[in-house]
Amino acid sequence: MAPLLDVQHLTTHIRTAGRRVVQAVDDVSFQLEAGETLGLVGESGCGKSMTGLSLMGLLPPGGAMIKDSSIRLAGRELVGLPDRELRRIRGNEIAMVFQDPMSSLDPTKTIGVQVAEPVLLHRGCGRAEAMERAAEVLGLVGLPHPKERLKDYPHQLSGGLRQRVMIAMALANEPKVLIADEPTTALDVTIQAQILTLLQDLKDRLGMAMILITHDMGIMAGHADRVNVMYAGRIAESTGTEELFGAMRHPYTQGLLAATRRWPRTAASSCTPSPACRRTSPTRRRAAASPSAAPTPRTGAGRRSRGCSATTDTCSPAGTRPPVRSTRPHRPGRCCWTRRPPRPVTPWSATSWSVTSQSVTSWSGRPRPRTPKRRLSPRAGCSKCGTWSRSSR
Amino acid sequence: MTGGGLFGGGKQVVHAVSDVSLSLGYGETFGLVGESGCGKTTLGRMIVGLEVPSSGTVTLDGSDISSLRGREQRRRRRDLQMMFQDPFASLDPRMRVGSTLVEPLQIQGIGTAKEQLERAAELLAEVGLPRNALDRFPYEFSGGQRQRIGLARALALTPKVIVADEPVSALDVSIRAQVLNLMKRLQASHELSYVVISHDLAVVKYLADRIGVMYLGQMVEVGSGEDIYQRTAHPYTAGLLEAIPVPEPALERSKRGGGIKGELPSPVDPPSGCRFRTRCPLAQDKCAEEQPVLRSFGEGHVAACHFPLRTPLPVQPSAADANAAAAGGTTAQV
Repeated sequence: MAPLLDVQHLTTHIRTAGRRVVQAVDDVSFQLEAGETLGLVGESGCGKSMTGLSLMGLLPPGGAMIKDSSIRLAGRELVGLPDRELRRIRGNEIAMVFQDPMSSLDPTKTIGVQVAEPVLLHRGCGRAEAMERAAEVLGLVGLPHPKERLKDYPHQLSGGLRQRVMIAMALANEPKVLIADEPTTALDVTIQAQILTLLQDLKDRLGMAMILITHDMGIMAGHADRVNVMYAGRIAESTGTEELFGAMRHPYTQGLLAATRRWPRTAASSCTPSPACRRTSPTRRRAAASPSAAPTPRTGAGRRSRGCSATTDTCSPAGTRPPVRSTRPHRPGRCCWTRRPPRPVTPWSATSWSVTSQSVTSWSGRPRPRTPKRRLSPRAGCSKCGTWSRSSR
Repeated sequence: MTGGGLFGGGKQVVHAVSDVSLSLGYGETFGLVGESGCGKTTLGRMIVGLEVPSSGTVTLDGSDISSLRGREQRRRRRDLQMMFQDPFASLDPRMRVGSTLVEPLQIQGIGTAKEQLERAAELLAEVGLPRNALDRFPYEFSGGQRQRIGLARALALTPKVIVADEPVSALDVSIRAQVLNLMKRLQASHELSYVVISHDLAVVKYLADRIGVMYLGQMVEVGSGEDIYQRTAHPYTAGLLEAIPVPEPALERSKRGGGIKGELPSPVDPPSGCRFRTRCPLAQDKCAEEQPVLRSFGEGHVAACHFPLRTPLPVQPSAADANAAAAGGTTAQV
């Protein structure tokens, strides 16, 4: 049976103010089954939000485009669908919860009207009926006294309650796929735990599939079934959650985890490292340098200029990038360097590689050679291989 | 600090902070944690004098600075500087970084224009930015770099105490570590004392020698990092720790559905007795009637709870004694 959501070679280009083309999402492929939670994790600017927006067809106007990609929702191709058709799907079969509940709700409309809007648009029912549905959904997401609060404005609610309203808006039509883009970043840890538990409950009850976008490895560990680690617009590592935390393959994933400090709960669970241990322990190595240039198209593993711990000459033959290779079945990871020698290229990754060797086309139509930006060091490999080196800026 | 910051919003008066005492030793870091709206930022602003407490004092090096006004106050402010939360809002977008760094020196009348500029360049070097940043505008920098500029500005007058309000919460995880390490390094080289305010317990644990947990304007538990994390006494602290996501799938999945229920009540009309009782899993009748006092759970470890998770020390010193025990060498007694 075909998966619920099948994304193949998703590539999104954005034109920036300076007329430069940024490849925000670069050949991302994944599949999502009903009832499954897929995590997208990475730093700001790594393309995880743009992946979500691409799936929703909500790209910034004037210059963004999806190239040579396929997004199939329940067997139906979304790329290239006319706007009118897309509007019927968006907010109905696929919905999104945005990061900042302070700015994503309309301050001039009551929450009842905002939650009822998608119902009115997609169900063709009357206002009263839509409001009734709004109260029902608001109750579902745990807003106390939903009927009385329909006439409240967003400013009358706390951050946690606003995020619940956002979730209610997304769920009003019981979508098949819910994209949650950093749903808890603006919230306190206590409220964060409540919201994540709520999302998990609702997902189980409604049988939705969820794409959970976050930069927090702890949230991934608790709520995702599978994790895609993204870096510079690409998937660096993709695997089941238990497997990922059991054995990280990609050096970037290890860096991300090291940056998420973990504290011992009880004396028995682990030890408290001394400052010296903290400096030298490999699990505490941190990703060095700034990711300011992360989303630009680049050569090599997409990470070579960021002070990767494992950079060697093999990482970056000019103009190429490593294919997604598998060390185990169903475990692709895009890096030359893994802890254990990789298996031969699997058929899945072979197809993924074959379409990526295209040059970026500039907006004037002339092909532009795929060259790294000036600040990205062109040197091949790192002399201090095996150590985390600072980027040569 | 007795009394609290007074926010007059028309008719309602909010006691943002009520009856909080803390002390800070030389070269020490005090971490303040709590949910949004618990009064930790107001407390930080009162320490540096940006907010005037309705009652209570801030003592620095033995002298009361909260009652100073005018020229005298301006002179003493050199010793207390603030590093703000939002690196995008706290730098004037129309001022070059050089002017931003020179401004405190100009206000305090320190050095000639040339010396001031030299000092600004020195500060940039200390926080790891190139000299040419002097002539650039804030928009040309990333969030992490801006926060470095904010730190350089706070360092300009060689203060004794820096109050850092959510220094890294606006930054990416991989950049956070760099800024925190920089703060630690500068603390060692400048003999700084920090008050670090954050809702992220991991950040506070990394930086702070002692940690104070605030709830609705009150300090509910104070102790060393180990006291707070491994010998937790207050159920609120335990709930906060429980809520931190940890990158261990088995552990993380086992605690689904637990944690603190509900939201922070309104500080306009706080619950009677123990303020945490409305969300506390251990609350009993006594909690609604009687406000708990800080009791000692070990050296420098105090918590205010009727039914704590650990047994308090048999001899119960009064709250004032417990605070005095926690004081150590005092720079700023607040």
